[in-house]
Amino acid sequence: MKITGAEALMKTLVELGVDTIYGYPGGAIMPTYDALYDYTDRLRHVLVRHEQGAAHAAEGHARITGKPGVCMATSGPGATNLVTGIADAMMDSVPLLCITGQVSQAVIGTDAFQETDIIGITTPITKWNYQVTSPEEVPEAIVKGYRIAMEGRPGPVLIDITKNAQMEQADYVFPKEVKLAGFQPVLDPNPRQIQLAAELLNKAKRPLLLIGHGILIAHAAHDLLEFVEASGIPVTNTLHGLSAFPSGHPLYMGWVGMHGNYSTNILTNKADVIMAIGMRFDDRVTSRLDAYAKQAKVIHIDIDPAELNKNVRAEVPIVADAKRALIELKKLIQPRDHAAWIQEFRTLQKEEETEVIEPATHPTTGAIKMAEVVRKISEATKGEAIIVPDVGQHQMITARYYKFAQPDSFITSGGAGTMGFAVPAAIGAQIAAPNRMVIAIAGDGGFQMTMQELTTIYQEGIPVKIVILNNNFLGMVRQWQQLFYEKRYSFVNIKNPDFVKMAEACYLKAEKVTERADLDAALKRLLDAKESYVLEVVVEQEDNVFPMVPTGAAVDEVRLR
Amino acid sequence: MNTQKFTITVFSENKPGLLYRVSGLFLKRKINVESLTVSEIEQDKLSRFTITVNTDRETIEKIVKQLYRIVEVVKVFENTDDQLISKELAFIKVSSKSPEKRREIEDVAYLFNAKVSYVSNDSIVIEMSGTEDTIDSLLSLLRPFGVREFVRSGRIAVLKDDKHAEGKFSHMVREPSYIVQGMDVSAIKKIQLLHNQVPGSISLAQGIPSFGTYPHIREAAKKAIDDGLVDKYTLGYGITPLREAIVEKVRRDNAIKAEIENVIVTHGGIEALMAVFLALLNPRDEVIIITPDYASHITQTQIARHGGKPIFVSLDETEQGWQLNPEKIEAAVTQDTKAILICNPCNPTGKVYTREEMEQIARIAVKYNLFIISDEIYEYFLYDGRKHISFGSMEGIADRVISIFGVSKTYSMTGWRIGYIVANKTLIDQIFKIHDSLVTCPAAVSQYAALAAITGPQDNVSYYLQEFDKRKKIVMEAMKGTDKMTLVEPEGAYYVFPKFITPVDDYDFAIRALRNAKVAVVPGSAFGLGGESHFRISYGCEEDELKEGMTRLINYVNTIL
Repeated sequence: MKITGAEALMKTLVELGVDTIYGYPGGAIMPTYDALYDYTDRLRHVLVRHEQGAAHAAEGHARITGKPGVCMATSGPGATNLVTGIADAMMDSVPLLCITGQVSQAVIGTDAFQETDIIGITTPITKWNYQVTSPEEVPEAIVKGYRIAMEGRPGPVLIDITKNAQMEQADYVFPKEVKLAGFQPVLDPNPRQIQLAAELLNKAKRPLLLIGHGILIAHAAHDLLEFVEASGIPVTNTLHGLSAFPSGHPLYMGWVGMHGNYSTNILTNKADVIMAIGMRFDDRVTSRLDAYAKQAKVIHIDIDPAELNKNVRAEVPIVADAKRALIELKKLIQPRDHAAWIQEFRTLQKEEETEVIEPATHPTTGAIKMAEVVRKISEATKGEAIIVPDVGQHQMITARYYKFAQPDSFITSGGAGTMGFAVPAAIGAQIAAPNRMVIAIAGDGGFQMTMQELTTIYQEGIPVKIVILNNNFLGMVRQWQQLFYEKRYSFVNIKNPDFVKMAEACYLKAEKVTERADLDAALKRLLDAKESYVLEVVVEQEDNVFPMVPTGAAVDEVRLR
Repeated sequence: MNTQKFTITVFSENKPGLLYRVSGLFLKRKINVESLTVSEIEQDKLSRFTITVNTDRETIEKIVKQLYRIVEVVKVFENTDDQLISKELAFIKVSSKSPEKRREIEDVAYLFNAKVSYVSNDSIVIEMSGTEDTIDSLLSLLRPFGVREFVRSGRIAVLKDDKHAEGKFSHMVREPSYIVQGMDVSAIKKIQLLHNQVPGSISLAQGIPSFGTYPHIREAAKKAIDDGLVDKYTLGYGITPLREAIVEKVRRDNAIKAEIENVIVTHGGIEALMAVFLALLNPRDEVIIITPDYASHITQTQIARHGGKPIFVSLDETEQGWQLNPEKIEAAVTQDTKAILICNPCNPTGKVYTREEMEQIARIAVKYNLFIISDEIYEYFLYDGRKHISFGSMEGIADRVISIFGVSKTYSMTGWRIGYIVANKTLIDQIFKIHDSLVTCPAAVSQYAALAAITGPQDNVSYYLQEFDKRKKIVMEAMKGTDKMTLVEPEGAYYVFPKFITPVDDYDFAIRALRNAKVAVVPGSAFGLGGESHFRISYGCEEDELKEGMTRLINYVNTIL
């Protein structure tokens, strides 16, 4: 029996196990929305208020499930509004399946109403994209896109479907197999390389594990824990690696990067062997590359061969899935006691504790500090919530002071640094993880970039918690202007709306705290709420994030103040 | 930055938008592409990009990895100019106001082997294909005449050598090694197979003696089975009593001063040879093969040298017989020459080397420090009272000689598969590694049979020789029935190698003889240089069969030529 391309799309998505679509209808995608009307029992559609929100929500969803998040938009502006989210997903290796409507094939190239070359626009920021112009192509394109998005190093895929392809009919066949000649990710590590890596680690005097997002993508947190306990090697991680390793573990040393921990940044340049897994030596991690870990022999495990030797030369490059590599390595690793080496971390940790952490998290006078809010949330949730920060100072503070107890708990825009990420991504995360508490922590700037999604939260009844840390500044830029631009505050003062009224206008519960004395009770109300809750906390205006590796400095030149 | 010109060849699925993704990679890194050509290739649905860029090795490596990230890309390799044959096509339209000018332009074009492709009354179009440099120089010489239009195609290139093609090509993965694919099935086997398909045909092709193995040998094998001696692996080198018997035999009959440690028993002569080639040769090493020679020597060395071709030096075919020309051998020696291979007595020519000829070979081996691989499988079959001489017995060269013997021909035991290698201890140790990998040990039962053969009564050997001599006479007699062929009378083995007096495609002849005259012979080209226009007759078969076969053959030759 022949069915329309739009219905074929619905059927294919259902067969692939997709259950949620984040989207916004419009002219060129109307046939698909019409088909969706009959599929609402199998596919939940979340109507966002702006397509960027759909892309970020799909990202949040994907970061929890590990499967492609699906978002849908119409042609032209609908499609271009997805672009920021797609670029964000590309940077952070998030599997997305973006479906866009396109004008009919007959009018493509005529500057038809709402026609945009979305294939051309998204080519550099997708793992793969494809334009479907006939209904027969729909199932295969979708299955291919789904697989490509998810397998190997994940990333966004965009399928652009012309209106005629949605409306015309064809026989529906779900492709059991799709031929992808050039796409065959290598999953199993080369045994010889594993052997070399194990030999290096077994002889190392100051080994360091540097883990990234790849551990979470590969669902390898448990294998990592086993490997670490079998080897006794101290662990540090990137921003995206947060929550991949329990932060209370005795072998956890903290994280690295521009605002990462003091000891880990300094000792990166003292380690003799660094094994990096599922991370890409981003410049926020390495800072000055020619002064980064020059003394160390580097073992680099990544599923994407293009990452190996891209920024840091690896002595032992290993192309593999992180989980499989760790399982193989564990067989060859010898238990070692690195007490003296770990003691070096402890000594530096004490300095950071006294200089930075204690004053930031336990102030007794002055305005409320961001760090103390995060510390209190962390304690109250026992580190078990899913935390979705926005981008800026509060993001670094959240990364620093939330003590993650379980994997897949930190969803952030790390590579692209997309302001406005938190609220929509938290929506997706909450839908994907209905039984976990999801807390979006946003600054006053970023919150306003996507705050229209509050009505999505209202319409869908999503119990996501939102904390706005309001310092009336675009704080991170202000911090840099203070430190590196002689305090010439250029357009970082921000006059904010009444966030409480804003939330209440969207029928959400909300309150505002300005005094330290009221903070605990307000946080309790936030966390106890069964439904969505917005808490605005007015914090110290000119608070800075430290430690910091200034631009152009080496990681061991990290500053405590 | 150390830049040079690289040519990147990309194979991809032939899909719209690929060019955009490929060129986008260069754009993103601000690398200027010097030329780019795309076309379909012989394999269906694949495109081939040829891209030239001037950059450094490190950037190229990163680009190649990024190219692999494109889903549709199947294979990428990058090459420097020395690994390529490359060309471009250019059209140059030059003003030519007068016949004199036109002649001058044509003269310039002539110098460059360029073509005049169009002439009008005031211009002339020159077509040139060549390297970028030659096109540039032609252009500069034509400039003074006034170049009106100039267009060049951009580079197209093919690899000189497949070994420079790195990376995966999943379409090819499923195919066997290109080395093996490039080899022919031995012509002997091919003819034998065809022979089996032609009912009533007589085979004078395969070198099998018609005699059965002597009863005392068979009995010894049966006894070994009954005594339970053959149930397990034997020592890899062969059972000790057999090796002791071999030592005694080679000391007595070959005058080789061997000890037991100099002997490995092998699975026939063919395994012995393969093990020797694999143990001795690096991929670049050259072996001089004196031809016409046993066809399997040629394929075996090709395998051992990873597809590299052996170096052929042919004997001179004179009225006095096949003669060695030492100067030709010396001329073939290069710095990569590792060994000289000789089959003595020779298959297919029946040539027996004189002591003088052997001394010449020994002299060359010493002078250029070469091994001598001496295949002496027909050692007992020499006619007219000739005495077999082993290289291994010659003064001063014993250490560089690897001698190969077997029981197959001597005792009519081709089905039992027993041969042996005699060489110096250092070589034996290395050859053993290969031998062990190939066969572990030769079949135990056959080793006991061989022991009985070597240590038992030897009267069969002289009987066989007598029989072969009779059969040889039958062949020589039959050959008198035609004047279309000449023949050097064999001095040893049981083959004759007649030559057509006018050049004939010997392969084609062999096929037609089988089909039309129902007699199988082996085409001479299979035996390497000097074998063209010859064919090989084996007179191992029974007299009646031989007579009938010869009659058919001679009649056929007489009818067709």
